[in-house]
Amino acid sequence: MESLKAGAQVIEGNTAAVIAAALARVQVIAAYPITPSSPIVESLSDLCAQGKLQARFIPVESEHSAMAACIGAAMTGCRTFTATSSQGLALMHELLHWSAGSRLPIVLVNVNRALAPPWTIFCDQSDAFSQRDTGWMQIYCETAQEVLDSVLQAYRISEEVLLPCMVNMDGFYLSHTAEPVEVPDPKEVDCFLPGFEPRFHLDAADPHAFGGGTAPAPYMEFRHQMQEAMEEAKDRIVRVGEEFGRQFGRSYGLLELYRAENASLLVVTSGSITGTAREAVDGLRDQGLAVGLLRVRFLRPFPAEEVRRAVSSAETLLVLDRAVSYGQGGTLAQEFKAALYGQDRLQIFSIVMGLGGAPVTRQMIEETTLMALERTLDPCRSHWLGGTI
Amino acid sequence: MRAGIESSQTSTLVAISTGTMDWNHTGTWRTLKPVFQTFIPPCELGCPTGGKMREVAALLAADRLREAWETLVMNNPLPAVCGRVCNHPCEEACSRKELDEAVSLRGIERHLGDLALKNGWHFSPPDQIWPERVAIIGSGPAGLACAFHVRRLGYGVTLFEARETPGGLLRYGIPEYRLSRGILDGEISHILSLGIELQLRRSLGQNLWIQDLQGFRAIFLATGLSKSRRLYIPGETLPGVLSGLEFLDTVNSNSRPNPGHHVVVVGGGNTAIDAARSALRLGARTHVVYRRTREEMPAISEEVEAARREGVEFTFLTIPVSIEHSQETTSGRTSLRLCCRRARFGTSDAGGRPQVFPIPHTDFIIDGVTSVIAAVGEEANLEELDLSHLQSDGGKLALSAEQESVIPNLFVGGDLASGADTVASALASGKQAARAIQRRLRGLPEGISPETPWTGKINPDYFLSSPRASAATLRLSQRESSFAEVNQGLTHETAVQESRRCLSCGLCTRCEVCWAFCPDRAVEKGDDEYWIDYEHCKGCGICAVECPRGVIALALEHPYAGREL
Repeated sequence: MESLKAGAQVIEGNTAAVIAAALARVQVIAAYPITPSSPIVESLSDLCAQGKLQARFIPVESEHSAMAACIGAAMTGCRTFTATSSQGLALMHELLHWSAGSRLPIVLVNVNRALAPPWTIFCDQSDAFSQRDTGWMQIYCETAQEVLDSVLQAYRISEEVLLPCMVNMDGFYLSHTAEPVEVPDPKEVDCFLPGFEPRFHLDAADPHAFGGGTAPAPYMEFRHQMQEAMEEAKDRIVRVGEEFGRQFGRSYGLLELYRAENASLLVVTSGSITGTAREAVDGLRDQGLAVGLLRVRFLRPFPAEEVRRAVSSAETLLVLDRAVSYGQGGTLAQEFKAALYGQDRLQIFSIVMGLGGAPVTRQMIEETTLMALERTLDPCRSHWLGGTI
Repeated sequence: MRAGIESSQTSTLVAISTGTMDWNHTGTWRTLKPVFQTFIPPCELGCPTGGKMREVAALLAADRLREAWETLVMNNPLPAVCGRVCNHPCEEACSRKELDEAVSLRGIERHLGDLALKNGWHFSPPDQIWPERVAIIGSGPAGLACAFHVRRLGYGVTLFEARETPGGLLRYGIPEYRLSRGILDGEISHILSLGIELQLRRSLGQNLWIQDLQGFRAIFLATGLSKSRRLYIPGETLPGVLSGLEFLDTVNSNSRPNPGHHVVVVGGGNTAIDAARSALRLGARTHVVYRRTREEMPAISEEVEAARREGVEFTFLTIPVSIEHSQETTSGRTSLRLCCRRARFGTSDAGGRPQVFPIPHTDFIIDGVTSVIAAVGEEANLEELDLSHLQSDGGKLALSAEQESVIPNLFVGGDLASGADTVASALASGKQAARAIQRRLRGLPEGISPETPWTGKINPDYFLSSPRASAATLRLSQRESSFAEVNQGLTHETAVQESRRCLSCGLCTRCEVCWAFCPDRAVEKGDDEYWIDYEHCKGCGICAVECPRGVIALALEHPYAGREL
């Protein structure tokens, strides 16, 4: 595979996901193409067909079946990969629960796309945000480089805590735009990510049924273990992110802070809006305003403690949501409000913007930030910005 | 808690069973019950003799050739003959047609028949011998089949034949290019070698009388149809006008007649096509005139197509009106002019065939005809056979469902009983008469078939398309003057290949599909058969829906049993 050559390359986010899957030496891929993630599925299918990737590609008739096949494969102890978007992820919903409940370290790249109707192929994060309670870990990437790096880290973390992980990138903004990406050396990746050693798996010689009828008490116990695994994952995420940094020169954590020192207001983002928000923050800092940025990398597990530490000196949070929970408001804003409950000195404003691919500009972020600083926004509801509103 | 529920140990991360759930009799939830069944396949249902082609194909595919032939001849002692001349209703019924093309069952039958002749395989003699004797009059396909079956049941058989050689219509009606005489002789001598007495030149109504056959406990009468139907048009008694049977009889008696250079055959049945293709081989330009269209021709479709390819011309929707002497003479031979009229279709008759009406003012002449062959059907000549007393009021033979006439123990079969029908039907009537005779003489009850006709469907998802093998045929140029067999038969390889195309409708082949699909692991596999664990089968029906060959029937469980599904 040409692009597997180590070194800097100018590639799209989708290609970064393909390279990452290949570097991770995934053994089974089951996927169904859907815009904007189709190129991932097509490329991997191609690589398997050409024998350039020693993996079994299972063509399926739906995303529901894709995840079902991934579950079956992962149950045998295989490293398993899939990719999807939007309606495809929604169709997988039932099996997202099943795979997490089965404690299978499947990695899924979701290319964020708004849900229909009205029909759209453009970006927002409602597809993935609405799957936050399925027991999957969720990463939101800012760059194609982060997509590649996150897939590799996702397998390490998932296989340690035995929870599946969804790596999200914004449709088109990341999936279809090219940027320089440093492709790591496969041998080094092998050191970072050795083969998967399952702690339990299907074995024809020792037949057992998995996930069968279970009484209420043990059911509670299994669920509690999942919650504990999520808690445990926070520590693993940080450790794995640091280890990755030592090996490849790029470190990652649960969240990222930018120009947050002594900031009285933090703009909170996830995904590709972050790049625009960085510029807005730079502009406002240039005007002498104490504004910084907090980028959420992991939505699940939600890094509540890290968030509380990060905002300890801030007075205002401006949470930019590219998603909405109807009847409540911006999803990310809810997460922050829940994590920061009781911190009364903090004012948290919620902005819903960029739905269905609506543009989010530096100017929009700057103006909203100024309004937040002036406290002219209503903290009791989400403000909708952009589009034809 | 019982095993199976107590699946969690706090040390595990997921629910892993520690026992089985067999104690949970989920079969009690069932409202539909799947049942493995062996059904009679469509080919067997289609065959008048009930030929077990599914079983034959399986044995051939397994290279069990002798057993394949023995299974074949249980119902039909003339496989090499039938494999050449049968109208193969088995293939018409073949489920494989839904997928690609019917299995060449006739080709398989012929191949096995030929193998038996080549290898000298003989019929097994009767298991026991009874003292009673049975007389069989007529050695055509019905008589031969009856003689075979009656003899195999252990009775003495005397076979009376009016001509100097046995075979009836097979010998005097069917031309050699369809049925080589070597093959016919071979299979007839196979049957006779079971210990059948053959009396030749014994003609009913001339030197053979029913009342003289007192020593026989039963008689089977199958003398065929000897009277050709007339055209009922002016000029049909002119020299040069002859019947199809008459013409074929001459052709098949090794005296090659000279019908002249232009022959018109009137009719659309097998006799017409046989006459036309024979005339062509005798050097004539040949023309078939038929009142309906190619669609309605009763002749075997392949034979019509072969005739067309050989150069026989067809004029459809045409009715002959009169025959006259022609002014033209060719090579010293007077010729005829056939006046014809165009026809159109009206409404269909009771049998579904469209009625034909002449269109006024559409007459046209076919001139310079050296022979007109009328092949518009045949009928029984009961007066000549001295059988008038067997007629009912309508002039037809009065027969019971068992083919028994008004005279007890006198059974009638073949075309004499049914009117013009196929060779397969004649063979079937011989077999049925043999069974009726057995019941009459031994008083054995009617056997109850444990199998039910297949009403299922093949599941095309499980079968790949594979083309039907075709037999080599004689080159067209070689057919112009030769009566050599046109169809060369399948090679052994292609016959085996064809047998593998059989889908085995209604018979479990232990393909494992049901076993693999059963969500309750309730299909059990034994060495020879599959069965269902009804204690656990929930009756979801997936096995029945998925089964590639429809061997799993779904029935309603109590209290719904007996209701329509």
